[in-house]
Amino acid sequence: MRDRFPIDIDGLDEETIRLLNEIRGKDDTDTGAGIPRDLSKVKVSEAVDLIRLLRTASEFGKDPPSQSNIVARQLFATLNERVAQVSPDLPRLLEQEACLAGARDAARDQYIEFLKERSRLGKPLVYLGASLLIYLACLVVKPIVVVAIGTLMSLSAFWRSSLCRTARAAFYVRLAETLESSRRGIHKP
Amino acid sequence: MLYIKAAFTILSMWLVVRSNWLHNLFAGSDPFNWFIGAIGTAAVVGAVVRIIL
Repeated sequence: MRDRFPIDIDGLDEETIRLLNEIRGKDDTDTGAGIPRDLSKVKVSEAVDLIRLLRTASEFGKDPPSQSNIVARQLFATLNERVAQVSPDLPRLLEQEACLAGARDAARDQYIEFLKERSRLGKPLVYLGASLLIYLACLVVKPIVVVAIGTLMSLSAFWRSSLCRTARAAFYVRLAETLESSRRGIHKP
Repeated sequence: MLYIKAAFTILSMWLVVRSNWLHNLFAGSDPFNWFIGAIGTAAVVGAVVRIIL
């Protein structure tokens, strides 16, 4: 990894140099070329972007923090402190944003896990077993009886479902409104 | 031939029970409500398929 904006410090690993390049450089809006960023005159919007970048870069797992993690943490603390001087609420809001992003990622992971769980062997076996039992019932009892029982089961399940309950509630509201308006119409002098 | 008919009937019922569409249709506060609805629908489909076959 080449250092785009050379710095007079030895012993930096590639990850740290990459991180520093991202922080110390930015793309020129006109030409799109990389130009050095003046860190002493950073706008709040730029600082917010940098804080987001550094928050991600400072995260580490079970392994001890790497050099880039440590550098990112130090820069993150400094930038947060500077931003708090200008806008005291901003670090708290950024923290909440990061928490929400974490919750979103956790929910996504849970959903992926749920989808994996559904495709495992266990649940298809339950469904297949149920189908086999119904087929055996069809053999024992007349199919028309099975149709009647199945229809009753599905209709009762549908009656209790959220979809039907919502539709019923909407219908009752509409009915109440109609009755109310017709009652007003009758009593109108 | 009998086995093919049986397999076809069970497969059609299995597809019905596995259907996400039925899951959404019968979903409610009771977590097993959708399963009861799906089994009922599968019974109807299975019996109809058996009558046709």
